[in-house]
Amino acid sequence: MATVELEGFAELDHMFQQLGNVPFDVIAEALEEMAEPTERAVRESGLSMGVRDPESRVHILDNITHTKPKQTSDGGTCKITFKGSRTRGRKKTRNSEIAFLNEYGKRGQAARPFIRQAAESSGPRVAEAGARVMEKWIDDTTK
Amino acid sequence: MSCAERLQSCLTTPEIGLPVFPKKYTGELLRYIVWNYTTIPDLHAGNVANAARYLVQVHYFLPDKENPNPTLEKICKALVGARFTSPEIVDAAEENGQHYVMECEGTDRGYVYGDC
Repeated sequence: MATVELEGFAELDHMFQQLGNVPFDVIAEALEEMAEPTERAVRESGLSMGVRDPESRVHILDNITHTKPKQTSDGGTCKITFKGSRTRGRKKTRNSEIAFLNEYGKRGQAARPFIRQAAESSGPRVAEAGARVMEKWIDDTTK
Repeated sequence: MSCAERLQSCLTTPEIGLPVFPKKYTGELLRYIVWNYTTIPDLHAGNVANAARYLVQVHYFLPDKENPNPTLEKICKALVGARFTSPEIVDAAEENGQHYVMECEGTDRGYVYGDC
């Protein structure tokens, strides 16, 4: 008769219980680590799609940054944003607005959905960066 | 049928009743639809991508003060009927009119990329 053995269940159960008790400073570190490959992916995707503001000396893709991680009821968030603005005459336009117009286009201007493409294509890399921090914390706490 | 053909044919219907253009339109019309998509290779096995995933945007342009909802509903139904996912709708309003972007995904399992 075949015998099926299951080992390591107690450790797995312990790991899941630990995951519910992750302190926010570990979550914040994971979010910081995840922000970096996300920013890189947005920049690469933007460059490949020709995202630029021809009226500005500063490239909006050089102004991608992320906010400080913020605690939420189900973990934490960290926003990837475009900092700064450009001024033409008296009109000031935020770089995030220029990014929005590139992402969705407008009448007579084709959309360049570089943010969505970056989010889709960088998913595994970003998850891996966060997982490294979590795995280290699990290893440290289960020693 | 390619993703482009699926999009063009599902949106060009008497029910929707609007001109449909790929990528961009630079003419004088006030009400029209534009679509675009990017392709992501997927289902990798044997050194090839065995499927394509399409990130689709469908843009609906119309003048201010018109009710967009009946047409938005028809466009969403047409996309789902053509095997695209239920779209998310983004309001990308402009200074000179309304602009709604429907974002959804499509797949093509028969598609095979070369070595990757």
